[in-house]
Amino acid sequence: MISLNFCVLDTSAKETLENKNNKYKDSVSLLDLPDLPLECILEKLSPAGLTSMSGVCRSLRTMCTQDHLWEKHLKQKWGKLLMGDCVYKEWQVYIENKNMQKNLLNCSNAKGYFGVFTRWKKNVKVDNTGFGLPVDSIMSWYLSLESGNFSFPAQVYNREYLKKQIKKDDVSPPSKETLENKNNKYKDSVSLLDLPDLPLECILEKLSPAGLTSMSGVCRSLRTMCTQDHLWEKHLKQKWGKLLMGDCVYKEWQVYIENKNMQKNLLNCSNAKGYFGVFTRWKKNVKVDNTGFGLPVDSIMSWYLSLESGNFSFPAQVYNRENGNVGFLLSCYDAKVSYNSHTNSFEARYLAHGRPTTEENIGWERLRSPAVDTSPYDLYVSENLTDLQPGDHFEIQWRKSKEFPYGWWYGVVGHLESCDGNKLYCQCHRSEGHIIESLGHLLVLTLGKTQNPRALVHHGHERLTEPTSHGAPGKLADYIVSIFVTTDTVVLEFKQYGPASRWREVVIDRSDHREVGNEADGFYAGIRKLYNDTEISFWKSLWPTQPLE
Amino acid sequence: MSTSSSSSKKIVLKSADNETFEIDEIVALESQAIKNMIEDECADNVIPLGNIDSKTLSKIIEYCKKHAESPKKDDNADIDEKAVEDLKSFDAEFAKVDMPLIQDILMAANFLNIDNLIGLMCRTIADRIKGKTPEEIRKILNINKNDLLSPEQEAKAREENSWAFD
Repeated sequence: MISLNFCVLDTSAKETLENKNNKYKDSVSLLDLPDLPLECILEKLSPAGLTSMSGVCRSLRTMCTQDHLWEKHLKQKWGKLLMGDCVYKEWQVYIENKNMQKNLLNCSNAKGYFGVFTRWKKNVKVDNTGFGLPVDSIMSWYLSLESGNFSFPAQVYNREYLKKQIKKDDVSPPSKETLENKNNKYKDSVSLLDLPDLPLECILEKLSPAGLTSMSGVCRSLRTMCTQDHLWEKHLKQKWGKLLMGDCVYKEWQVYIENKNMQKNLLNCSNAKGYFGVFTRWKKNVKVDNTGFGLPVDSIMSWYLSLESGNFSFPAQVYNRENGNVGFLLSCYDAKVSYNSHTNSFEARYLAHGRPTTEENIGWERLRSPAVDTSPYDLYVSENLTDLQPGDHFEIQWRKSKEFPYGWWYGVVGHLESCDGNKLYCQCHRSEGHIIESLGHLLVLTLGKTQNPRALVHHGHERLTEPTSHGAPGKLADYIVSIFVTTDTVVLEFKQYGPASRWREVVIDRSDHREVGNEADGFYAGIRKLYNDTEISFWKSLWPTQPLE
Repeated sequence: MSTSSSSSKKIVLKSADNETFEIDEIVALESQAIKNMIEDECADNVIPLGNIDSKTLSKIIEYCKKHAESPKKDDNADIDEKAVEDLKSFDAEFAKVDMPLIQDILMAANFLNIDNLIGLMCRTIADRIKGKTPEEIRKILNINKNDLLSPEQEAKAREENSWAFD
């Protein structure tokens, strides 16, 4: 930007010099003077004069842009306001930014780390002539102060309230101009932007997403303020937090950002032949913001807006797929969903029987963030299967065919066939197998409610059934002792299906379960025990009114 | 200003346009800034407020008076619900002024460090912005023309905005 300033140089000095040269044809040029007098002349020039001179010719350019010539002017006019470390730091930041912009431009055709910054490029006009001022020269500093390109920290006395006085008072030229401009523009009333940062921040924090978005379109300062991440984080969390859990959504967002940036990069080099040339045919389809005003793609506001607009589709799981198709009751399938703000509902895309399908009008309540990070095509490694007990709620991966993705189905751990479900005798959480019955003598411990004695059961592999004779506590009695041969099986029940349905239950081996099933009944895979009451009660709320077949 | 018959300690505030306001110390204490001054014993005579005009200052005193009179929340756990309601409706009425005055009050409240009043003014401004388009907000907020967006930028902003207003 600074280099641009030189395009509009005051030409009067140039002319003067040319005239001089004409007059002095065949006589000495100013440049033939020894260094010392030349230096002396330059030192006597005002900033405007020096700037003009620097546009005269290459030699003068080099001479007139030297730091030592400008130091004096900088000090004289700006010194008072440039004291303090913070201004100098600000200047260093300014230089860095300028240099970064240049670097970015130089690598705009390259992908990679900086690719993400190329959106800035369009704003920046960069000098390719090599004629530009070094950004870190004093002259550059002076000019950027004069032009107002460099904003610096300062403290303002009696802000706004004493406008009239300030106008009258003899203040230094730059502040006078600034204040006069302000006075004209604001016609005796303050603008919101004149508020101290704290109350302004306080106002912005109170705005809704819609309010913030509107505000960001009001003016440049508000644009900068209202697009800050910290203002949007709260809103993102509030409205979208529930659906944005899990790494996979975040990863998807990163991919989205990358794609957006790549599109831009491709456009930027669309005129270049070479490796990327092959992609340029896509270009016409892509609408790209050329105003340089666009939101940073990786800002939270951008995320929020792309969610709100439905531009960003993200992975989620849909309960009761296909509009409550009975075949999918109490299941949950992975899909890519996008929001429709008009209907406040979602559109989901998934594979149904291997074909891409779209379902619309899915309410918020039918979506959840993927519960595990496992892809729907991968087997979920079950945890703690040994803990499963009758009555435990769980979700299990199931798929019809090995080519299809898994869905998650809700069920409850049931009792073994041999068990009547009585808690006292139930050993279902331990084992099942064939029962070997034998007659034995056991010590009667207590008398149960039904007057049937209970006896010591050694290690859970035996169970008492009917006593063959009655005995009192402390006495030996005859029992039929059932001895279980352990096979470590668990019965998984899906009670939404009628007792006769082939989907009603499945038996798995808890010690070595990966995937069981066949092409007819489908495949039962990873099991996720549910601990969270909200999750369980949500599944229960989806319960069908009558059993399914 | 005549001295009140009350025996409580008085504080005199002087506005930028040299008008003086005599108020009870308890009212002045609503301002953290004045409170600090009093505690540091540098508020002997008149406290000059060179950046607050009399119109704004009288509004601020009106607010502080009301809030100083009302029972504080931490005074009593079961404070009169009516008092709370009363204060709420006072605040609502108080905020029914034009934007320039609201901004003047906010700036002055910020200077005097009156937390509740800052909050009230911020909320009021936020409420007035609610549901407005950028053009409307520009009018409300009196935005500097130098700061406006280019037509392309405006178009871009409108595009982002579309979901909020459709």
